[in-house]
Amino acid sequence: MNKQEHILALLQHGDSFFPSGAVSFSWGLEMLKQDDFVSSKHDVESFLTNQLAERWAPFDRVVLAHTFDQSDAIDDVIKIDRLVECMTLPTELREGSKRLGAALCSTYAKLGVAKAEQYQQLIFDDAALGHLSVTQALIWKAIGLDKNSVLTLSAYNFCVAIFGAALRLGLVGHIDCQNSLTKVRTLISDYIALPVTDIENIHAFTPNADIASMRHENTGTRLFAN
Amino acid sequence: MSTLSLQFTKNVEGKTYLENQYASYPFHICRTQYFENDPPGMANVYIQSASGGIYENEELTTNVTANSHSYSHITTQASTIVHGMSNGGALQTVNVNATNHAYTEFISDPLILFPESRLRSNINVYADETSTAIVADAFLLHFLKGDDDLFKQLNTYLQVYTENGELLAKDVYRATPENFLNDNRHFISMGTLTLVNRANICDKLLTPVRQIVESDNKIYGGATLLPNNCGLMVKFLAPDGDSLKKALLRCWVSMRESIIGIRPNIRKK
Repeated sequence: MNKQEHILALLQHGDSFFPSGAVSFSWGLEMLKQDDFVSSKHDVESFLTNQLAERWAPFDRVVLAHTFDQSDAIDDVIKIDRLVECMTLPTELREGSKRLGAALCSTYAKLGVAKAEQYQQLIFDDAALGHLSVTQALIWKAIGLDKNSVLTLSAYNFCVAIFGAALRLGLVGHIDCQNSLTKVRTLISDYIALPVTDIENIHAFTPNADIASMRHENTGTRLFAN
Repeated sequence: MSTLSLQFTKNVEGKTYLENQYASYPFHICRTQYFENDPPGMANVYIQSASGGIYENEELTTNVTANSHSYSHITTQASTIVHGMSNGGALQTVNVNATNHAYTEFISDPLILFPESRLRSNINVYADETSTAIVADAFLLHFLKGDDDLFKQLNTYLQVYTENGELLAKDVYRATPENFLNDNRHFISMGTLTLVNRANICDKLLTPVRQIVESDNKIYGGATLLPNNCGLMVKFLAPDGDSLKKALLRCWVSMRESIIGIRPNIRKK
């Protein structure tokens, strides 16, 4: 893939037009709004930057990087997948991650990506779990993206998912989202440049969002799956 | 390194007793006590510290072994102060091992994180499919020298394993003043109560404990089932030590009552 094609690939796979299924997930934001912890544009930005700093950077980013490096050793990838399962404690976040991972495999399998089809089969066979960050790294590497692009795409998609949820919850407007996306560019770049720790050292500290997700399991009216 | 080892065994009369014990400074334990409204023969042990808390460069390890069909409840006599540290940190490890229908509770009072304190806390629970363990883990910030002089870091590792060492659930976080305190500093403490049980009773337990933690207006809390069907977890943020301790207590009472069928007496401290 030449540089121009690489840019086009990033635009295609990072576009909300791409059928990733992420539109159904708020990652705790819906409940935080319902519980009056998030009520403004500023709050949404704080939520997102906290998620990037305390969840995406020390956890998802490291999972993505290790999966990318070990994508040809599928048994090692499955071990990472199982670790993500063990370390994603709120049920809705855990199930949401697997649902999105399975959806990603399904979409890319239909697009003819052999790696997606292979991992989808492992999920069907209960040999793998298919957590989102694991499937993202596997599949995006298979379509020819380099590690930096995979990390960038993951972070960007996460931000778009959060802002998409915030938009539907009436917390922000379209222009707010674009302004915020511009603001977090530097932050994402800084996190991507951080050294990748050992996979056993992944960690996350987002108690508000975790608790919100736990409470969301018990709500009757909801827009989002988590 | 300082070590406390407690091994609980059920005797032929059905009473759980301390078959083996070892305590090095600063650990001290009271004699085993037996209370009304506990499961039959449940041994209660209070852990005390002779030193008044956790200090820089200390390594404290507590090993609890709950043998076949034993019932045990281990608690601390009071909250544990984690003192300020100039350069290094401290390490506290709790290993709980429950086998063959054992039931054990490790309900420690919250850690109080003094300014400049830095602690790594490891909690490892090994339990087979027939056993049950309930473990409390909580911390509270202390604003001893004003609002700007706070703890440095709390690294917590809570890991749940099968009896063969296969990982089932893992909660790892690194709390600092920056990532824990909100702008308004409303919540200054966090509590977690983890029930480890693989016998499919957790679905039934989730509803009452969730009701408790979600209906308490002073705290922000929730409950969820853990991965690999290994139990459930209650987590909450609280604005002060009183709310934290009361919420922990109510959740523990609910879990005990749901599992054993008898409401336990509140421990005198």
